[in-house]
Amino acid sequence: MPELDREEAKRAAAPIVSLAIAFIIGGIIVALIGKNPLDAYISIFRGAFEDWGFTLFWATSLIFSALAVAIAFHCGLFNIGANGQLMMGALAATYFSLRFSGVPGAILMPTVVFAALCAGAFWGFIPGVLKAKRGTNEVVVTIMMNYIAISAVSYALTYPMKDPGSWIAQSAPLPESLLFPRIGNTLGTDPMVFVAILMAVLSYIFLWRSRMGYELRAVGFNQLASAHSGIRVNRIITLTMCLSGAIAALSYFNYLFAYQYRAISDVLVGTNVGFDAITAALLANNNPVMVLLSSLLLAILYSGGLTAQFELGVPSSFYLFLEGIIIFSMVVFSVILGGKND
Amino acid sequence: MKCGSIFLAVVLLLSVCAVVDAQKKYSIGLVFDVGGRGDKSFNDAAYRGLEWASQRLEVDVSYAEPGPGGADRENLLRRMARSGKDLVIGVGFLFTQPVVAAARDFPDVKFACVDMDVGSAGELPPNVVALTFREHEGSFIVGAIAGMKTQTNKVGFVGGMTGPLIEKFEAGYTAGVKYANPECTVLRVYAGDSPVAFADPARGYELAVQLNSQGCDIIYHAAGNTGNGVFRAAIERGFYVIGVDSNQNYLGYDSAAGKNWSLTSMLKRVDVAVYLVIEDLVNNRLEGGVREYGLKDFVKIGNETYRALDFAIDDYNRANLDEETVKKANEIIEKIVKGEIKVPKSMKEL
Repeated sequence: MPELDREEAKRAAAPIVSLAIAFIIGGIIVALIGKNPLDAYISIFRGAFEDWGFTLFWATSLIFSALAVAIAFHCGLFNIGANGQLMMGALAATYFSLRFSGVPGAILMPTVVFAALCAGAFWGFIPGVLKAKRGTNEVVVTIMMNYIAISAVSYALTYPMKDPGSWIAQSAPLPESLLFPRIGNTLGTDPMVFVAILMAVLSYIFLWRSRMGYELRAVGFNQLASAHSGIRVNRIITLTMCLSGAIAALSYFNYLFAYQYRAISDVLVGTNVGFDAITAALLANNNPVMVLLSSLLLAILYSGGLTAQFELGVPSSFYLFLEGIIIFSMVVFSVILGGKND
Repeated sequence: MKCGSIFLAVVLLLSVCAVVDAQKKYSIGLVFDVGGRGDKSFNDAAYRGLEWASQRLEVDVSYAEPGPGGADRENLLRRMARSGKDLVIGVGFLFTQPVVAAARDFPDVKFACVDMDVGSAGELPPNVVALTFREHEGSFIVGAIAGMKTQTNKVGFVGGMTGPLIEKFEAGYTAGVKYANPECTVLRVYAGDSPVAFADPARGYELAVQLNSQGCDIIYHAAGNTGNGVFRAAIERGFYVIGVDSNQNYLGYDSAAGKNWSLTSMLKRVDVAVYLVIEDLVNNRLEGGVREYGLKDFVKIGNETYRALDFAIDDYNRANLDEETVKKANEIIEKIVKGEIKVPKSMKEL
C-alpha cells in the first residue's frame, strides 16, 4: 500500500514538475533572445488577467476537447481527432440552426446540441468501430478523419451553406433566438463556461462512479482481463470513441453562439483546440476535474502570450514552445513511472 | 494572494502608463495576419514599413500576430488600443470587421487596416483609416510590360476568387497589355469563387498549363498562394510569370537549368502604405476614411524611391527585362501619375 501511495504521489507531482521545467527552459529561451524572463511571465499573466473574458473563452473550448481526449485515454485510446470532431459538431450545429431558424430557441437549442453531439459521436464512431472490429490504429484513423473534417467544413461553408451575400466562405448569421448575449464586448460571459465545468464533473462521476466508466477503465487497463471478466471490450471501445467525439463536438459552441454568431470557414478550419487539448489532458493526468485547471492554465499562457508579443516582443511561437516542453516532460515522466496509461 | 496579484497588476499597469507619458513619443501597434513575419509577402512588407517608421520618424513600434485561425484578431487590436497606442494597424482585409468593431470602443485611438474590404465594412467610424491600393494602376504597368515582351501576342491572367477586388487587377492588366500592344489577346481565368481559390496551388498549376497550351507565353497571377502553382507550371513548361503583391521573382527560378521564369512582379507596397500612414499620424495629418495609395505615392529612403505600386526588378529577373522595356514602363508610370493615361478599375470601364 505505501508503495502504491508513493507512485500516486509521483504521478500527481509530474504535472507540477513538468510545468516548472517548461517555465525554466522557457525563461532561459526568453533570456537568450535578450528579454527579461520575469517580465515576460508577468506580461503573460497580466495580459491574460486583463482580457479575462477571452482567456475564459479560450479555456472553455479547451475543456470540452480535453475531456474528450482524457476519457478516451482512460480506455487506452489516443483520440487525436478531437479537432475533427469539434469541426463536425460545429458544422452540424450551424446547419440545424439555419435550417430550422424559425423554431423557437427553447426547442431549437436542444435540437442543435443533439445534432452536434450526434455529428461528433459519428466522427468518433468510425475510428472506434474500426479499432474494435479490425484493430485499426485509432491514432492514424483519427488523424485522417481530421483532414476529412477540414475538407467537409470548407466545402460546406464554401458552397451549400455559404452566405450568398458574403465573399468570405462563411455561413449566414445564426438565428438570434439561439445567441448568447455578449455583455459589452467581453467574451467569456456566455453560459458555456458553466456547461464546461458541469461536463467535467459529470465526466468524473461517469468514470469513477458508473458501471460503464468502470468497464471503460478496465478495458484501458487490460483488455484481455476485461474480456475474461465478461466486459464486451469491442462495445466499450466503440462507445468510448462515440462519447469522446460527442463531448469534443461542444468545443466550438462558444465561437458559434457567443462570439462570431456564424461559422467562418477559415477560423473553424484553422482551429487548433483539439490538439492543444491533448496537452491539457496530459497535464491533468486525464483527471476530468484537473482538466479544468490545466485548460485554464494553457488558456492563460495562450491569451497572455498575445500581450507579451507586443509588450515585450516575445514571439508567438513561445506558447507552442512551452506546450512542447510540457508534453515532452509529461511523456518522460510517464515512461519513468512505468506508463500506466499507455 | 488574489488581492496581491490584482494590486500588482494595477501597479504594473500604472507604471506602464507613466512610462508612455514621460516619453511623449508616438506609439504604433501593428497586428500581422495569421502566419506573421517570414511570409515574404504582406506581413514582411508591413514589418519593413514599421522599421522605416521607427528609424526615421522616431516612433515606438510593437507588433503581434494572431493564433491559428485568427479568431483573436480583434482581441489583439483591443489590447493594443488599451495599452495606450496612438495608432493600431491591422494587416490584411480580414481585419476589416475587427478594426471597425475595436475602433468603435476606442474612439481616441486611430485604427488603420491595410487592404481593407471597404465594401463590407459598413459605415467607417471616424477614427478608422482604410488603406487601399489602386491595384489596377500597378497591374496596368505589368500588363504593358507583358504586352511589350510577348512573342506569341497572347498573354494570360489567373485570378484567385472572382469579385471586385481581383477584377481591378484583371481590368488594369488587360488595359495595360492593350496599351502597349493592341494586337495582343488576353486570356483570363479565375480559380474559383471562394477564398479557397486563393489557397489552391494545384488549381493554379492546372489553369496555367491550360493557358500556356493555348499559346500564352506570359501569365500574370493575382491569386495568392494559388499562384505558386503558376510558377511551378512555368518552371516545368518554360513560360514567363508575373508575380503579385510582393516581390515573387525568386519563385520563378529553375535551379536545375539556372534560368529564371519571372518576368517581374506587381508590387503592392504595404511597407510604403504603413510608413505613410504613420508619417501622417506624426505630422498630425491623419484623417479617417479611405486612403487610396497609387503610383503617385512614394517614400524616399536614402537614394531609393519606393512607390506604393511598382514593378519589381532584382537579380532574378534583370536578364528578362531589357533596359528599353524598363525605360518605357517608367515613362508609362509618369504618364499615369500626370493623368495622361486613365486606368480602368473594372471590366466595365475597360
